[in-house]
Order: sequence, then C-alpha cells, then structure tokens
Amino acid sequence: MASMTNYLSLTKVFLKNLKMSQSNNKKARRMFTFLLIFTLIFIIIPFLLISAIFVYDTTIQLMDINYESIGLQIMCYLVSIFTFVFTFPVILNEFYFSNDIEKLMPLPLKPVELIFSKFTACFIVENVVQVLLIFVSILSYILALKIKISNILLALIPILTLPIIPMVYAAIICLIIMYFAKFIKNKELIKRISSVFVIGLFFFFFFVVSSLKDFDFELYLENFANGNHQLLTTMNYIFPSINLFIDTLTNQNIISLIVYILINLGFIALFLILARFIYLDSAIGMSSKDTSPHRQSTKLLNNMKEHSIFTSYLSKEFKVLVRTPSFFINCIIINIFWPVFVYTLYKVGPMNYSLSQMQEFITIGDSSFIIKLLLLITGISILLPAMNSIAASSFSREGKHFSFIKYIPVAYKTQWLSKFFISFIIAIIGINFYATIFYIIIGLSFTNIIMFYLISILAVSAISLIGVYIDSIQPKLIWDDENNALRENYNTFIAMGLAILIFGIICGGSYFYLYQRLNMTIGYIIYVIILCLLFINILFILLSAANGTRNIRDQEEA
Amino acid sequence: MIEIKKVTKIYNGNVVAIDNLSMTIPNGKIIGFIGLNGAGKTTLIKMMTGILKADKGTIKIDGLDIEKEPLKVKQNIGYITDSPDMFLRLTGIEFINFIADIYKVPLATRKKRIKHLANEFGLEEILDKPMQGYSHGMRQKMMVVAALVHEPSVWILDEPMIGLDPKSAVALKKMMHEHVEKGNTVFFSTHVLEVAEKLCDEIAIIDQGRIIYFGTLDDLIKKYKKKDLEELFLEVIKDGKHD
Repeated sequence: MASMTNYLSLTKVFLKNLKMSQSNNKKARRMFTFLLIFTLIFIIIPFLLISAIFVYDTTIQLMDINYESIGLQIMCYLVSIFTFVFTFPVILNEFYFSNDIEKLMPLPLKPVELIFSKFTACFIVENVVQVLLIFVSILSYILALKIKISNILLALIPILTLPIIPMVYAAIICLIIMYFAKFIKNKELIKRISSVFVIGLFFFFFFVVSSLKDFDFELYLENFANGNHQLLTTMNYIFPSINLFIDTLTNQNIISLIVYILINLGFIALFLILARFIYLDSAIGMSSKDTSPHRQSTKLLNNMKEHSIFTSYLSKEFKVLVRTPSFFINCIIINIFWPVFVYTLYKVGPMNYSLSQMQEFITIGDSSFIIKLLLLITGISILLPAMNSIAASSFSREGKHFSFIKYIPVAYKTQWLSKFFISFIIAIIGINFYATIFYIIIGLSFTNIIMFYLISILAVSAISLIGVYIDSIQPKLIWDDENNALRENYNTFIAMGLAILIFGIICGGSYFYLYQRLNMTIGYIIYVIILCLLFINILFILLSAANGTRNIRDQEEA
Repeated sequence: MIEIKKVTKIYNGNVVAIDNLSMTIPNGKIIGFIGLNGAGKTTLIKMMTGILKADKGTIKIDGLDIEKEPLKVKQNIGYITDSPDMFLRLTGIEFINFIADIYKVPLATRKKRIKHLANEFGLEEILDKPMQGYSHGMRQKMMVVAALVHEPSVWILDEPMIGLDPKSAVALKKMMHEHVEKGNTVFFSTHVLEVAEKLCDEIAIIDQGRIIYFGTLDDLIKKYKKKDLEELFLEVIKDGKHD
C-alpha cells in the first residue's frame, strides 16, 4: 500500500516537473495558447492523415488475399521502433542524469518505486503522438474493413499501452549499459559515451528507413503468400503483443486481450526485477569530477584574452551548447549530420538521380532539376534552424538562472542578438558547408550559388528570429535537467510548426503554383522566394523590436 | 549609497512581497539584512539588482535610478546570488573571464584582480576545471570572485557565507571591511545572527515586506534587554506584527 502511494506521488511530481509552466502574463498566455493550437494543426494533423491513408489503402489492397491486417501491423511496428529510438535518450537521462536523483536517493524509497514512477512519467509524456498515431490507424483499419466501430472499446487498453514494450526494451538496455558503465565514475564521461550510443541509434534508425527503398513490397507479399513469413515472424518475436492486439481488435478475442495484458505485465515485471537488483548500484556514486592534470593559474592568466561583450556572450552560448550533452545531441548534432537525413529521404523518395546525371542536368540547364535543388536548399534552410531548437530554446536554456540575463550590465537587445546569432551561425555553417561541396561537385553556376546562399541566409535568419521571439514570450525556465529544457518545451514545437507552414507555403507554392502552373522562370521564382523571406525577416524584426526585449524584461524568473 | 523609496512588489496580483518599503543604506557601512523565510529579503535584493521590477516606488544606487539607467547601475553593483550553480559547463577561468568581459574590465586589471582573488579563496588549483566538478563551496567562492572582479562600489550579497569554508569566510569578511573603509557600500542578507552581530555596523530586519527595525544591534539589545540573539530577533518580529 505504502509502495503504491509512493509510486503515485512520485509519478505526479515527475509529471509536474516535465510539464511546462504557464506565464503570469495574460497576454503572453493567450498568445502562447494560440501558437500551440496553430502548431498542432500544422504538425500533428498532416502526420496523422498520412498514417491513416497508408493503413486504409494497404488494408483495402490486401483484403482480397486475406492479409488485410498487414498495413496496421507495419504501422504498429514503425510506431514501436520510433518509440524505442526516441524514448531511449529520455529514459537514460531520467533514470541516471536528472538532477533529482541525488535528492531522492536519501529518501526511504525503494529503487523499484523510484524507477517505475520515472518510467510512468516518461511513458505519459512521451507517447501522446504514438497513441494518436495508433488510434487513427485503427480508425482507418475499421473503416476499410467495415467492422463495427464498437470493436475499438475492447482494444482500448492495447491502444493506450502499445508503446510499453519498446519502452521496456529501451529501459532494460539503459540499465544494462549503466550497470557496466558504473566502473567509470565520471558522470560527464558516461554522458558523452551514452551520447555516442544515442547518435548511433539514430543512424541505425535512418539506415533502416533508407534501406526500405530496396524493399520490394510485392515480392514480399508473394513470398508471404508462399509461406515465407521471416520478416513478420522476426518482428513478432521482438514485439509479441502486436498480433494479439490486432486479433483483439478484429475478432473481439478476449483471450488475446488477456494474453496481451499478461505479456505486457511480464515485460514490466522483468524490467522491475532487473531494476531492483542493478539500478541503485549504477545510479549512485557517479561524480562529475575532472581528473585531468591541472594547468598552472599563472599560465591560464597569461593566456587570457579580452573580448567585446557580444563576442564573449556568443562564445559562452556556443560553449554551453557544445559541452552540455543534451544540448549537443538535440541542438548541434543535426547541423553536422543533416545530410544523412536528406540522403535517407532521397533514397526512399521518388527521385533517384546519379551524380553524373545531376552534373548533366546542370550543364544543359535543366530547369526542373535546378528548381528542385533550389527548393531543397530553401527547405533545409527553413527546417534545420527549427529542428535544431537553438533559437526556440534561447531563454529556456537559462533555466533557474534566467535572472543572470537581468542583473548583468548588458542591454537586453545585445543578449537577444547573441542568442539569435548563435542559432544563425550554427545553422548557416552547418547547411552551407555541405551545400557548397555539393554545388561544386555538380558544377552549379556562380550566380546560382550566390542566389542559393542569399536564400539560405534569409531563411535561416527568419526561422532564428521566429524561434527567439517565441521563446521570449514564455520560456520554459523550470526544468530538472537540460534534456527537459528542450524536449518538454512547447516553444520548440511551435517554432517547428511555423517553420513547416513557411516551408509548405514557400516551397510548395513555388513548385506547384509558380513553376508548374504559371510556368515562371527560375530567376523570377528566386525573386519571389527572396521577397517572401525578406517579408518574414522584417515582420519578426519589427515584432522583436516592439515586444521582444519587453517580454524578457517582464519575465519574472523561474 | 542605496536609496529605496516607497517600494511595493505584489506577486500574482494579490501576494504582497514588499509593502511600501523605504530605507536608505549609507556608504561606509556594512548592513546586514535579516528576516524569516518569505519575509521579502530576496525579493528586495532582486529589485535592487534589476532582476525584478518594483510595482511602485524607486530604487537608486549611487544616485542613479535602476529603472531609468539600468546598465549604469548594474555596472556599479557586485551581486552574489543565493544559488551558485550557474554556467557549470564553463571552466572557472572561462567563467570569470566572461564576467570580466561583460563588465569591461581591462585585461591587465582583470589578471591582477583574478590572481589576487583566486589566491584569497584558494581557487588557483581548479581554475582550469569545469565548474560542474566543483563542490558547492567552490562554486560559491567562484561566484564571490565573479561578483568582485570588476571592483564594484556597491556589494549586494544574498547569503554569501553559505558554503564557504572558515578561511574563505574570514577572507570575505576582511574584504567587506576594507571595502566599506574606502567609503563604499556592503548590503548582505543572512540567516545567521552571529554573522550579523560580528560583521555588521547596522542591521535591517524585514518582516512581511516591511522594515521593522533598522539600526545598530547594540541599540536593539538595549531596547529589548535581551542578549540571546535568537530570542531578540523573535521578539522584534513579534513586536513588528503588533505595530
């Protein structure tokens, strides 16, 4: 009984910590709510629609050969893999690196209570999108099969709990890694090693996605009909509850539901038994002490240099971003590895030009290819500064030390500009370093390169301005560890929504309306894009000048 | 000198943290600022340093209004916060150099000053290490060095002694005396009445956002005829509530 009370209280506290607090300012609160709803519409709904259409189409197509559930099964596997990859860093952070651990350890709590409440809080916060995805996929499946909508009632438990098994996998791997890493007593070193592991995991995820291009779905079905169920069997071994879930839904099979629940409970029990024996051992005793030999202070003082306020502030921002593992993974890595994402999309997408083909297109001045290239670089320049979250977490990253911004003798405008510039510089270098190499390899003309640079600069600047502005309205200042400053921060989400909207209007509008419908030349399209981006830049410069520094001045700390 | 005139601060529209408070903190004196938890100490200090905006009233530091000329005022303040866990990813020397850049301390001066302060607080050995690995006391010392590196005329210190080892506490107290001897101001909050007794020229006691006593400790002892500081403090608070 006491255990249950402890578990519930702890879960409530962890959930509160993960949630974003509301501003005291009514106007800011209204603005923030409006932006949040707006973003939900532009990010979540299109994403859900794509999934629903995929499941509906696949179910209809495969109904005749009695494999109608394959679409839903694939969607469930994808959601499970997605959950595993994206919750792994969150679980690792919450279990081992969050600041509350040292405060909770001396309390009379069982390790199982502590770890299970952390797991539950992560589960609730991290799986909203996954549950929505499964829900719309099921609706599509039901509509396609024309089965009773009330079937959903019996499947309600599986709908809500499907991400448990992938999360348990992530949690068990975290426990094992950290158990063996306990011999390395330096917390920072472990964080760095785990960062490398997380990056590797993301690479694996994108490798899997990119390899789907070579996956022949028809051949797979043919093999499947001939009794070769290898891939599905493997996935069923890994995620054994998915088949039971589909059986519960389709045939209203209560036995399947009971077995589903038992399997999930078994996974949780396995995780908790493991946690009971190895969690405490690896969670305590980690220190952040640097054991490297120290340098003499006289030498340090002699090497000291004086900088302008702006340069010094910029350098501080950069060091914090690069040296904090959570910020490094979420904000910096994407600027270095974005070509992997683009390559993945390219591999699974409809275009598949070879390098020599691209060079030939440039030589003959193929407008269709050049416009695609232009829109690709415009799209990356719009989306990357939003995805890296640097601008949209500018003030949130200060956390409980937000007051520092206010008591130092540096104008808010200067601090604002530093925050904008750090986002701008990191994204612009990250994008154009690779882009320049690519332009040179394919032999893009000098004029086009300059125009592409100009568009990239304007796009990155616009999105960085938007990000800093949004974060100034209601920064997330209460967070327990750096990861939460980014992941549970709606500002990064809102900035992403706005970036997707801008991307859709500019890139979609340019291609489908200006190029395909009005047959505009590339030169004119470039001018239109520049004008649109200039407009957004000016709009947000004016908004920032009018309200930005006021938002910061009126913000009353954490 | 710090002049606080009819300052009021209300949180969330109904919680009065500072209630029409007026006080003048003269130069050349160490003033201890005492009060129960939630009495309004940190709120007042945050308004004096520009972190919070007063809803009513004015605060002037060395004759300059914090609302009207915030940058000039902040340049003259050395402020130690109640939480030293900031910029932990920077090394000690990077942090101090960043602060020195912000306060525009010339290179030669900052080198001299950092060398002196690091020596006083025993920080030379760890200046090149990230502050993440420092103990609470080490971080607190680093905050003291950062607050004093630009030689501000007004020191506003929120619980500066917490976490300091005896040697560093003695060094800071000595520096406080030297600073006021030059005609400057030191205003610091503390919970430790013995520290206030030994260090302060005058004390200000705050309760429910109002100053209920401002003067020397000797006068207070004479008035209440009590030698035990804790009892004396509680008596003053009790009387303050009745007023």
